[in-house]
Amino acid sequence: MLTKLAGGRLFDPANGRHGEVADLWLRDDRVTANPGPGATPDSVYDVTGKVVMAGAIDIHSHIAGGKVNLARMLMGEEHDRHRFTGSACGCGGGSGIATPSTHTTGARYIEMGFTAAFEPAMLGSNARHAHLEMSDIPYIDTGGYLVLGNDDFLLDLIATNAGQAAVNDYVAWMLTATQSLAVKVVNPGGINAFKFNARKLDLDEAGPHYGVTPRTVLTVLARAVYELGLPHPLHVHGCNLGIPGNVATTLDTIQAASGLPMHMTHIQFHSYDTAGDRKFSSGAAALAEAVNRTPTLSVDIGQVMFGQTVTASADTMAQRHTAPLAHPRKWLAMDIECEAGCGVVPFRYRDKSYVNALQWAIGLELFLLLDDPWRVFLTTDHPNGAPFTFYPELIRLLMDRDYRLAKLAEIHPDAPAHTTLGSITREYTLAEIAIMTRAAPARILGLADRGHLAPGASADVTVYSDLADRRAMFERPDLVFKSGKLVVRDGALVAMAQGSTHVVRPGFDELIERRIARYFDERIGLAIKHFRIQDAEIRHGAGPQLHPCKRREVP
Amino acid sequence: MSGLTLTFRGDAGTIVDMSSLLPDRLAGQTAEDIAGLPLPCGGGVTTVGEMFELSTGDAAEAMLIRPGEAVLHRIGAGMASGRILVEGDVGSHAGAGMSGGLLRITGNAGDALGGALPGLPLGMRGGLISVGGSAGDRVAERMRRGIVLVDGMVGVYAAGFMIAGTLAAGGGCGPHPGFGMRRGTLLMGRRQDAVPDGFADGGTRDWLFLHLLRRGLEGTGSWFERAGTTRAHRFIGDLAEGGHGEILAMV
Repeated sequence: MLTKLAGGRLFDPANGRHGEVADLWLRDDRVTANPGPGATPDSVYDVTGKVVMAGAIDIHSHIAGGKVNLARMLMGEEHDRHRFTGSACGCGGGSGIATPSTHTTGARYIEMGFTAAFEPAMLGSNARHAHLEMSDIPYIDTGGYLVLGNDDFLLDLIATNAGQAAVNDYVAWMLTATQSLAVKVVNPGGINAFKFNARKLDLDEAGPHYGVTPRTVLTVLARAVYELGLPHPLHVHGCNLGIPGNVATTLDTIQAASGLPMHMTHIQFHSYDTAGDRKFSSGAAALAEAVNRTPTLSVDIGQVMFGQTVTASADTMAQRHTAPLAHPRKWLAMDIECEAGCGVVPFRYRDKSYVNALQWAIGLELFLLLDDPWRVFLTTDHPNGAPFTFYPELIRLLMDRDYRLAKLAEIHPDAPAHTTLGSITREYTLAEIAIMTRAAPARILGLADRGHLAPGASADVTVYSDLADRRAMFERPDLVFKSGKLVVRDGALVAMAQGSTHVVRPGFDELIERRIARYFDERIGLAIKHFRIQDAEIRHGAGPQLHPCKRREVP
Repeated sequence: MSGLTLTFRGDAGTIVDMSSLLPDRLAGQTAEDIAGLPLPCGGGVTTVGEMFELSTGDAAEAMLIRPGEAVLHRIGAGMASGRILVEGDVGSHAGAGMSGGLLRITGNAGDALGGALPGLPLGMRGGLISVGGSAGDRVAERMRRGIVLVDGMVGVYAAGFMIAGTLAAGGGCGPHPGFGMRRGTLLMGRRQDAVPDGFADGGTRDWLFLHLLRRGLEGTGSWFERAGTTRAHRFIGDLAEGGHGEILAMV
């Protein structure tokens, strides 16, 4: 099957194309080179004047796994009020906005031109559940980042000085057993400390049980990820999330990486300073400057948008802290035995609230002050800052200064004085949006055949009309192709497609398995063979898509 | 009766969400208007007229529902005023989140009778529910005000997390009655020999309050009107929630 998209403006920054007019050819599920004048395409789409990009990639969106499902149950009323009937193409419909059901998740993403989204917090013990849910999300590619850093096995390895090699083997074994794509650390050591009644743990504070500091956990894991050669650097959700003054901790965390690559996630929640009468102000400028001069660092924002959502995190410490602000007034927290925790707190961000308004402004400030779109990613930390369906609105705020200033005038009157947002003139260009949502996410995750449109790339393509209203433009693409198949036309689903699950498998020394098996028998009460997820369990038997790792030495 | 009558005419076993058919919402509408209203049914949406035969009459007077072989969920859920009479059995969440009015069910009721709708922190807030048969699990869960009368048995977690109000179950309860109960009364028409989990024994005596309750329920035709005694064994709890609630088991 040969498809031709004729006359579009290609935004393909990975291959240096920024709006050049060219034809794009798709053969089956791949982008292909122009087959020459003799070829007759099976279908031709005239996309003259339209914007053609690869399918967008969301690197941080909580779409599957234990806490997502708990959030769905806690937010039962949302599933009652927002039900969607199935479309003619075979998508089963579903329900929910902030905690969409699996089919709704896939449908909402593909309708906006996203062809991949990654679950950033998959606990080992919930991995099987997360994979089953990801298999059930239609249209988009997925993968999970394994949460480590509060698990007793790792903390014990560090506390007993078992050595970096043992840690590396453990990390590699866990990644393989849970079919994960990357390693994430959430409040390093803090969730474990919470279980021993600590309610705060600073970067250089020793945990109450293992006596290990968050800094040590961070450096050990960052080094393990580097030495194992994982494509994605350590994905860090730092200490002190949401606490005024935490920008100092965040700056220290950057130092703690000591030159190793690191991805700091939802940094908006980690950029708060304590200036002003309310002891809450923006620390975005200082953080942006630090990120700008640290080329080994990448970040995503976790933008807050106004409205009802729900926050779901493994960070029990932070969630207990915000629980009194829950709206509606209900929340849950849960211990995940030897691994981590989980807290779900419904939240309504209000533009008339000083704190919420400032959070919104800080996120935008960060987007605009960070120079290099290759190292900053568009996220709302779905659903923690806002549901992912707010991305088109967010893109408009970034690309349209007048619109941004109009919105700034509507928020709490005291908030603008505590941010620099009003004075920032920058507007994102289409090329920069293409980098931030396509080329850069694929590069940072090591997905060689995604996020670009060179021959051989996966035929995930989105075609937009170049509208002045960027929100309308990105909300409703004209055409979306997933693996070469037209699945969305004029914003409506027309066909069903399935994505794949991406994983890495760095090798490990088999000796570690014996030690882990003993730990499973003694502490978890589950045989190791039942913990390990088989390839046949991924995507209804289709199996995962593997990405290579290249072992490296720390210089 | 000059009220509105709805007689189910669809296939047996059809699942219908009845939460939109409330007396105050349908008041003043003609049968034709009501027949055209959308009705969630079996995972899709159909119209009221498709599923029910409608008599002429005003829902403000009363609504009579004949479920036939259908499974009607959420009858009277969120009802604020008016009267609904069901001649037959109902599904789950009947009268859930109800704040006023009267719901009478001659047959059996499913789970969460007078309970909370999914995700909502409060259950029933007022009104009266009376059931001729038995009811399922979690009856009167998170209830804050109002009365639920069940002539038969109710299932597990009866009056669970009750904040206030009264549940009177003539045939007794399944396991864990009054779990997490803060205040309110769970009245049982049966002896309860074992002290329920989380409750303390408060002794047996004649309760003046039950005379008043009986007088208040005159005309409902419930089991409690026919009960010959007001002597009951009292349990106090749930102690984990302060212990201001009570379970009264008639002796």
